[in-house]
Amino acid sequence: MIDTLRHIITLAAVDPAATWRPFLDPIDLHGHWLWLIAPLLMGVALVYKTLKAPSLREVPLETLRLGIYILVLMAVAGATLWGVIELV
Amino acid sequence: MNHDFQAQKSALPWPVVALVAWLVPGLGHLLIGRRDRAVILAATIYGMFIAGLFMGGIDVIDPVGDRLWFGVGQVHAGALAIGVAGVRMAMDVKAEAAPYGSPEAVPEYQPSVGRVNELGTLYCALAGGLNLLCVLDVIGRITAAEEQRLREAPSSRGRASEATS
Repeated sequence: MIDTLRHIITLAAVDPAATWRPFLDPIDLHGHWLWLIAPLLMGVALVYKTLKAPSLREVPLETLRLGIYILVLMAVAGATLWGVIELV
Repeated sequence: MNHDFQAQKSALPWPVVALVAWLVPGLGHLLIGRRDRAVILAATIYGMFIAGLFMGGIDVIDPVGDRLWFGVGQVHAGALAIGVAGVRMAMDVKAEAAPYGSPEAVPEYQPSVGRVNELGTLYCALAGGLNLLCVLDVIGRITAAEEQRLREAPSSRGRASEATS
């Protein structure tokens, strides 16, 4: 995760006019793409829990819990599909 | 955790609130008086959409080539998604109108490919999907309040007539 952030900062700092234009050109994060899934899951969990939680005080912990649930379930689903592909 | 579904009254009719909520993420919740939640929803949905655009570039919003992703997900991020799609299409039209082989015939943006394109597209599409969830939540809360008011109205009239007799 820290490597990914460092990579983004380096891209933005090194002569942006010549190499990379924000929002027009994609960032070269092909080697770090897996780290980008975590903020996506947390965003989904945060919106869901903000809509459903009776009190806002519960939102941070519930968001973390739901985010981890989704991450674990996706990992299990991925491992299962990988197993199916490898065995069949 | 118990999830609540509180009915929320609105001064405006629900179709108007739903349209406003669809156009500007978080505004629907603001209109029904859930200010703090509106701020969180707006920040998260805009944050996800802008993050997707930032990592994949404007190429991740493609209403012509990626109709399904745009039509089912991204467009529901509201006015911002429609605006970005308009800018992208204007760039494509400008490039197509330029003479073949000239520098203007190449679009101003750099096409994105691979995982970065996939994740950028997914971030923007999920931002739209989550805004749609917010719109449905707002509609549900307003219509629940309306139903509650209609249920209570006959009983209160009955109590009033009993009191007068």
